[in-house]
Amino acid sequence: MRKKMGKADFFMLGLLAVVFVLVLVFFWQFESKDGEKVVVSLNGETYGVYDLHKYRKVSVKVKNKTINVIEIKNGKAFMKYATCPDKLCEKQKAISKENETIVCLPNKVIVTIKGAEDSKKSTSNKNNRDDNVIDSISN
Amino acid sequence: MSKRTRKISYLGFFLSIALICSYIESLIPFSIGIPGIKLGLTNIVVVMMMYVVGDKEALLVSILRMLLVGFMFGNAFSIVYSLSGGLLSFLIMFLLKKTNRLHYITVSIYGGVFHNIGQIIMASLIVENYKVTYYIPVLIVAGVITGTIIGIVSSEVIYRMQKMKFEIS
Repeated sequence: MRKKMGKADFFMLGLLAVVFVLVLVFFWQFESKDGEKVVVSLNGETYGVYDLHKYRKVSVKVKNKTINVIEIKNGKAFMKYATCPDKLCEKQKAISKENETIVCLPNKVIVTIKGAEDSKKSTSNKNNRDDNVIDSISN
Repeated sequence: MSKRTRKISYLGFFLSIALICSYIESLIPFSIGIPGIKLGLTNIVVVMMMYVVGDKEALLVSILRMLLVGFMFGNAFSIVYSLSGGLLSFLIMFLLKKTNRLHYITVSIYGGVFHNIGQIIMASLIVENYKVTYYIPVLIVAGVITGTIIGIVSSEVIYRMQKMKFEIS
């Protein structure tokens, strides 16, 4: 005989739904805020800090050669141009929330959004490494 | 045919079905850019075996399947990921099945959800970055969807096997 779903099933599924809502609420508490500053780092060192709300094109130069161009527009930053072969960083979406990053691995350029308070701190190396690992997993 | 031989050949048969399911799954482009989300076709075999054959046999086939798939198509990391997901999922399904009051679909949904959660826990341990736990809401939804599909299919398979009075030995 085919089994039918009973009370216990609906209880367990309801429990799952409750847990799901709780997890969502928990994450909303930590939802990232809109950032204030754009921190560009080259080879792990801070290259420059720019205002996210002012239009600007940032050229990252090594030995007077432009390797990356980052455009900051309407509170968002994105990689306009890169010399790297795969152009993965150009394909990444524009970033605007705190702690979002765009990484150009071949050129070792990392663009991070920071809040008003911690914009002076350069992005720590450990965080950058972890982000790269996540990228390689999701690829 | 002795009972023992019959059992061994059936376990080998189920293992090969599970392997084929893994292979078919790798052909379906189900991934939507989020790591760790899979349809979990092999879970049909695991759920079916838990109810029709036995827990021990289901666990054995499940572990062997993950190791073999890892050696054939993956690497050491993919074995660790699938083992952590598969074992956690099996443990939860085993406990829920023990209550004897739940439908196959419910058991399968929990299996799907905890498979994903097991993988993400392992991922956050390996990467030492707890940002990956932000995926958990997405993974719960994905687990419920895939678990429902797998649960419906499994319950049909179980129904038919019970109707033909399948016994492994």
